[in-house]
Amino acid sequence: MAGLRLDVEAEAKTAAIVPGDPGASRILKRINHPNDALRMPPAHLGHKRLTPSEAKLIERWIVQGAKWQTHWAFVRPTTSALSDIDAFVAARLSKEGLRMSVPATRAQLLRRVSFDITGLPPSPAELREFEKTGDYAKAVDRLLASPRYGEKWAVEWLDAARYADTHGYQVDPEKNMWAWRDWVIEAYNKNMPYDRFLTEQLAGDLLPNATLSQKIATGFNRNHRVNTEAGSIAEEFHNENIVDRMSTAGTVFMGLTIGCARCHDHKYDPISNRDFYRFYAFFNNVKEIGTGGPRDGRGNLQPVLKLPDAELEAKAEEARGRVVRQRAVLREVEAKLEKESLAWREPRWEVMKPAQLRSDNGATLSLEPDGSIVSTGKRPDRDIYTLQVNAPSNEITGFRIELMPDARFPQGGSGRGDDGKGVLTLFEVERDGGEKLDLGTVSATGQSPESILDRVVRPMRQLKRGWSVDPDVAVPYYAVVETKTMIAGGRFTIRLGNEFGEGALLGRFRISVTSDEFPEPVKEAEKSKQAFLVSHQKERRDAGDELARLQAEQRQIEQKLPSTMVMAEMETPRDTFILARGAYDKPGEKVTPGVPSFLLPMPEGAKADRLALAKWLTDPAHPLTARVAVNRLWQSLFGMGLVKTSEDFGSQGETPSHPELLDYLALEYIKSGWDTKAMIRRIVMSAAYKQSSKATPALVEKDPENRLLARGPRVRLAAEMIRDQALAVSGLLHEKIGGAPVKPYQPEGLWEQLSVIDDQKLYVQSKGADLYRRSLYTYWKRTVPPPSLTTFDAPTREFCSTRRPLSTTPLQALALLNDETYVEASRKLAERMMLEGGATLAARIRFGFALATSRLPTVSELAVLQVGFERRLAAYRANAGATAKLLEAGESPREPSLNAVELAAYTTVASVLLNLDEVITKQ
Amino acid sequence: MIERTRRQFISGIGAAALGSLLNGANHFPAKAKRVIYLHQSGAPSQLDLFDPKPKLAERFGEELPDSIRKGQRLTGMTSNQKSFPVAPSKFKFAQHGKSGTWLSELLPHTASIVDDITVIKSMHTEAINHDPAITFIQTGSQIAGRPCFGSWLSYGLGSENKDLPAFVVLISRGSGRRFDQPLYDRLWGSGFLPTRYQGVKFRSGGDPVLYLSNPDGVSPRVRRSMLDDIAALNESNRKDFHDPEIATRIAQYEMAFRMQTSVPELTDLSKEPESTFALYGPDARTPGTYAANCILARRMAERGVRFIQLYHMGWDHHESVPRQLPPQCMDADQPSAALIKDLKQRGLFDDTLIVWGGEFGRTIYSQGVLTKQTYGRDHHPRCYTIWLAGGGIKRGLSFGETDDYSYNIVDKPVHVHDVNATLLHCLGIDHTRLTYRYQGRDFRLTDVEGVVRKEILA
Repeated sequence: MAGLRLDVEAEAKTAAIVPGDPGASRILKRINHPNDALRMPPAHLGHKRLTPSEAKLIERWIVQGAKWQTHWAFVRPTTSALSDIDAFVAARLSKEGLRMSVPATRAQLLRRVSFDITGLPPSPAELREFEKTGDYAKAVDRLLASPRYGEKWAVEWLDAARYADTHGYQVDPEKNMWAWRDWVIEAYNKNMPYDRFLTEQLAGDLLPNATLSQKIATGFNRNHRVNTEAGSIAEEFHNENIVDRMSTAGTVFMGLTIGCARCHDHKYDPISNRDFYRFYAFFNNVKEIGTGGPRDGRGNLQPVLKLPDAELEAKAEEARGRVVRQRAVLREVEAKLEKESLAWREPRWEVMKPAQLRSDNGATLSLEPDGSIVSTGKRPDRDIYTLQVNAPSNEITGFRIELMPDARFPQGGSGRGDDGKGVLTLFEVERDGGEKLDLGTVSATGQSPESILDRVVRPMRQLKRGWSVDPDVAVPYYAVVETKTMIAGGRFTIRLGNEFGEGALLGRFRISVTSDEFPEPVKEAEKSKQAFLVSHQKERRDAGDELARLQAEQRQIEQKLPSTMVMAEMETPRDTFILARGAYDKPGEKVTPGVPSFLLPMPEGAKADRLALAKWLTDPAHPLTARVAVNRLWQSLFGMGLVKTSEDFGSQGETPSHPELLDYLALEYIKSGWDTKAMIRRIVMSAAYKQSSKATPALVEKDPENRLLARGPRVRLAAEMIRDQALAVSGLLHEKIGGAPVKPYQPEGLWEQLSVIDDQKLYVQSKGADLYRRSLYTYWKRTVPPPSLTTFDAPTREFCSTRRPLSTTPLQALALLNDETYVEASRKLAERMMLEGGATLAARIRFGFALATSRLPTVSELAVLQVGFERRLAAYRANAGATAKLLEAGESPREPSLNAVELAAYTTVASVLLNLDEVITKQ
Repeated sequence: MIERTRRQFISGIGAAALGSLLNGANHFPAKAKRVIYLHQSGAPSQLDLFDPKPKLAERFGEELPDSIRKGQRLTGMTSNQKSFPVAPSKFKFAQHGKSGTWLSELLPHTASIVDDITVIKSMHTEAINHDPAITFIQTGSQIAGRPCFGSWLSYGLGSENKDLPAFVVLISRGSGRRFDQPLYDRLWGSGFLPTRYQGVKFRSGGDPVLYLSNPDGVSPRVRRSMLDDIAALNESNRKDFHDPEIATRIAQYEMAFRMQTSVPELTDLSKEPESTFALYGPDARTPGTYAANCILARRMAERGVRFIQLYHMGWDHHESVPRQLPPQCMDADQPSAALIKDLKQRGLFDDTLIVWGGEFGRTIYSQGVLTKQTYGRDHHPRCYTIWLAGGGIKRGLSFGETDDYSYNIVDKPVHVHDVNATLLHCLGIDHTRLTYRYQGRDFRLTDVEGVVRKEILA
């Protein structure tokens, strides 16, 4: 039976299955075969034997004529007799002998729907209003109109679209795609119809007269990771990038695991290996480099779209003007100087013989007659030499460090490294008395490509670089370090050497000083003396320095000019080939762009590009697009989709709990013009949604996942909502929409422990209001994502994710109890309790409790909190130190009018509240 | 909620923290109960440590023959190199122990445990760059998104200790290349498995576990009083809503409280006797070193942590193997050997699996200029060496052979999936049956491959 596909009707019916004739159907013989080796499914692959009742079922089906059916999700949704969510739910429940629960209380309902629509809890005023009027429709409309709506729903789309602030993989450099993120928020807030939402993201650049916004939208397909690791093979990762794009599109728009057909025909769904590469071809026509290529000032990779920023552009224009003008000044100065006849004078260097020599880590230093210093003996990895010198009393303009070849070192080089090199990572000069000299430019007669000369005088704390010679090691080299201003001579301590490691110590070297006006050596001297002299006149140098400064300023401004990564078609399309077993280096047959046509044929005659793909996906006849989209909305509101596997509508996905309801919603969605807000409104207005989420043990036993909907949803809040709620109820939340990502509190050293350490890549915490932005604006570094969010099941955003798991772990308890974010929020919530809650303990606790839970505490709950408060109040009264420390949490200022001991005790009550299961759960 | 059903099927509330797929019932009797995985990140050179090729001394500087290279792909770091000169190892090799296992002079301490371990010289993998290769060895796929070994194991077997996580990660930087080898949280991530199966990273500075310490100004007594309030209020909500998740949360708050004691107790080495530090070597007293992490690994094994994952960074020696490798070996050699001896003397060796190795091997040809003094080596996925030891693994075995250039495998190739299948076997798990359904497919650590290598089983 090898190779036989039972999912292909014609193939199965050749011999394996003979309709109506179980005796002739070989499949039954094989299923029931007594021999392990011959029985199907094969035992040696770990498959279990079918149970007798399963085997009987197949037999009965064959007797009945073995009717084939296309998988439900690949057939267009059908209309049904019912036309109301609750009718579908009630019908299903009555089959099970169940009924819907009573409605949730008004407070519960408003809390639920506020989180579901805006991701934030209701305010006390909103609660009061709703308790009074009970006007639910009005409340829902208010929430849908709130700008917070777009922020809440964007989070789910950012997961699906694997949005992040870094490129991912090992090196994980920064990128800048928040213009796209803000596009998503705005699209939700403007209630962009879903078909447009899809089209602009897939093919905004191909729309006629594409707008800036439509081009930004195509960043959807550029959010994937890019492997910039040195040595990565561009073709290999080009392939990975395309596969990521198409798998993401397949999952989020169609709920299909297309990626499975990468190496072979899909085992379960009718997607062939050929279909895979035809679909791949849609995404393969972008001018890009698999391993990234050059990054722009924002870390973005081509193709890149420059974004307008009037203020910055004006500044850049001014800066460019200044550069142009200074260039003219420079030319004038040069012309003038060239007319003057200048006298050439060789730079005069005076060798300094140190009075004292010392090495930090044990190399032996000795002074040669020519003033050079030789390092012998112990060869530590790193070593710094200290020289005491007496410089002439003339004014000093520069230091020269000569590296001198010597037969004693490997390959006759000037250094003690294995290859005869010595690496200079530090050169500093201290005047007797402790003043460190301010050193200027460094130049050298030869340097390796890895050298960064400037680091010699301005070393970084962690990433040591400097000067290593190149190419030939056995010749003399020298470097010149200029002083920034003329320095008076005297006694100096010079410290120089190698902090890089690998034992590449300076072997033989010599230090000299000069008083010449232009000590700069090297390349310049190879030009004509006149030009060299001109270039070194003070006037020329000042003008040149000014130009360099202005150019740097211009660059700095231009780097800030915003950009975003987008899709753009190549003029000459790139060919796509079927890759054998998915391997990038095994191209086979060439294919053209195309869709899995078993779903719906592509319109004839249309150019097969991403726009055609978007049109195909949003064709009302497409069996999947609308179903997948409404199912995700349902998932967000009920905690689980009607199809639980929201990422897989294929034959291996779960079947829908309410298939007719799903079809009904999909058709309504299309009919409404893909109106997302209307669909959300429709669902949250249903009685099914409005039920109480209280269960009974019997109901939990019967329906643990609440698939039947005999009760309302009870689901832990998403990571972002948990933090946003704490900020909201404590009054810290800063409601600014969009813009650059922010870096709230994070335990120290997280990035540093794992990443390449570079002083520029440390986590620099934000200040002020940026500490309190909604969590979707938190900087997302893919290799070290924000722990306060991942602890609560946020994905790493390395690949598409349409469904977050929900776990309950001790690490979550530790985060809510001890993370500075929550300790500070507790302190501020405590201030609110004391300032706004009333005069008595009970009133204040009630006030805080209501803020956190949207309800009032019961008598016994209040008692628990009061007793706890008194106990801890006593503890803080006895310990002023602890009180002061607790109240220092976070950067927000403390309300000075409040009694510190009481505030500390209230802070612990507030922390208890923010830790309650009820508070971090939508119930 | 995704997790909820499964949990309700497998266990009552009390077992939530200890819950496991197999619920103590292995597929067959387990030889090992736990794993200590000593990952040497960056890829140690098999040519300079484990796989001697003495004949190559005569071929110094000769071009690597095409008959050996066979046009195989190279990384972008050496694919533009005009020449691929043979760089024989500068280090001396000798046979050790009764087993006569070959080792280089850089591993004198490992030499003292060769009769306890199986050295596999015929490992091979599929990726040629670090990120995909480490991801592959740990998750069975080069593409991010699948659970790592430790997550699979804590999913499969759960925890043995109710006060500590089942899966712990420890990281150290190497002396060979200090700042050049990043790692990333995903490596110990649970992929599509529920988050509670992900590794808990212990840190040497600050809190050993994120957010473990009470905030300044919150004493243990104040904290206990707060936890009592939280428990009382959660319990009243549970009685109202009957959601089993609330009971789980109550249990996890208690676990968090216990961790506040158990983790500092675990990471406090001050009560270790002098002999421990002598055994693990000079770095052992410095927190965050590989040596200190090896002591922690033993302490975790004693306390029933299921999967103890160490990463020692700094093995990526592209430029100067003779200079970078010796200090790197100084970091790793003594503590690794000490761990084996220590586990033995405490009776833990027989039921602990120890894995030592990197994500691929290194090339015989020199990256960069070859001189008498120095050579570099690029990534090489076609063969490399790891060693295994402990519960279920043969002692004193040297397995597999490579060709004269340690470039291709000539005898008994062992794929990454085979090692993972074999390790699971030692743990009493059939690797084809430890599965998780995601996107409609039953995924497993060994993807669709993997053969249990009976030849290396005791």
